[in-house]
Amino acid sequence: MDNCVLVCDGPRVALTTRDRIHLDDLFWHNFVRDRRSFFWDTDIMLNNLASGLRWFDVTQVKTEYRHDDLFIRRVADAFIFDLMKNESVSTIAMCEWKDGQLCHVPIYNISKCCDVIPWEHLIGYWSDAYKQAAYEVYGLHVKGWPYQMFMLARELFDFGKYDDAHELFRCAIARAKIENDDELVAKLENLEQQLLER
Amino acid sequence: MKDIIICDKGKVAFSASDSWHLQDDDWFYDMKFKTAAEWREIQESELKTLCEEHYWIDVWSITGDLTSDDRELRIGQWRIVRADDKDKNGKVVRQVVFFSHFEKDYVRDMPVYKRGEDNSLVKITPGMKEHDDRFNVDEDEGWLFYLEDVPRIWNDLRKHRLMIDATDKLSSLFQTLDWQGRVARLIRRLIDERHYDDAVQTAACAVSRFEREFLPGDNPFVSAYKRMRKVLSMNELYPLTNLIDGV
Repeated sequence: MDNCVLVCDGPRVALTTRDRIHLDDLFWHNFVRDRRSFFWDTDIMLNNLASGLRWFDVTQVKTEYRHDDLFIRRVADAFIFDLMKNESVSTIAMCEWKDGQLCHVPIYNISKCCDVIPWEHLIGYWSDAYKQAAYEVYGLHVKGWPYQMFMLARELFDFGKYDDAHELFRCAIARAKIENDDELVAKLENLEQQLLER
Repeated sequence: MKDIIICDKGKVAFSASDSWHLQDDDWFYDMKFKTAAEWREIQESELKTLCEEHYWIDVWSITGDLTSDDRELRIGQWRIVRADDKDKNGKVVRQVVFFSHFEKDYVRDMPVYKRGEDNSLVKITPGMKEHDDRFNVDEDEGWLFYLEDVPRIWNDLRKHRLMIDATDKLSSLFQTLDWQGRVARLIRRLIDERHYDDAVQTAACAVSRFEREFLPGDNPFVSAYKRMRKVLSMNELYPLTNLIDGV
């Protein structure tokens, strides 16, 4: 249940998993560590994902409808989504049909609900997940100059320009020292060491 | 030599790339003394003049009838061919044009373009339903430029020229083998690859290292850093170079 996500795009819904739509930490940690081995074009990724999901248009539901493991019940403009697995039924989400789209209605008294994600917000979630993963892996914020310089040094390193990467690290460490940021100095020294050990 | 095509919706003009300033040339040297507002006015005026100076051909005015000899048009070293595909009922299902460039005995075919919205020329690329391996050539050497992209190309070239100028004090370091030479060359390479933010941040780090190491003489990275930052935050109200030269 923890891994389950209901994706909404206008009147369409699709039940999927967090890892399938790249919302799992492992994907982003791997992405941050080895950026070059990942194909990264959000438009193509979204298209591929969209075509791989089993969508269902909820406006077709009169009172109730079974769509794979998803059982959809309709009460006026409200839709209740139940997950049907091994004879057991549990309500995982509720949405309201408003202005041509499904709006998530939180269910406070049910502990087993899943995340409801509007399709257009997915890139935003990816962006947040990438930033979070970069911080967890390297301890650097993606918006700052240290991360920018580290990424450049890493790229130089990957292309075999070890001396350029080393001199860039020396420059970045000097800047961190001028800024009296001892923690950043230690981080940058550690990151260079990690690159050398790789 | 007329070596490029400029395309405005369904109209094309054959021209020389240097007429349209599609590569860095002396025109951009003069432009660095202009404010951003002046530069915009000059761009508009230059574009208007160039459009007026050229002869434009509406490619969709050429017949698409496959049996007609008039579906080919020769202009200098260029040939335009139009072809309409029809279904069995005679209804036109696809309209395309293709260009060939003749140079002595050598003929180069360019990619095929289909008729898009507003009669525009849409390049047919692999993956499109119109793409056919038998007829499409993969010999696109950047001969066709869309008129609407020209100002963007000019802006890119001008910015690149200004960024190069901003680092002119680093040029004395390019031949040296110490860290300063290595970092100066890295900054120049980043500028050439249009990674301007990386170049600015690298210069900022080099400024700090120079200071930390108490090296003699002026810090050459300071000037490069400040001037590059000013280029990237161009202010429309003031002549850019006045600010830059004041550093």
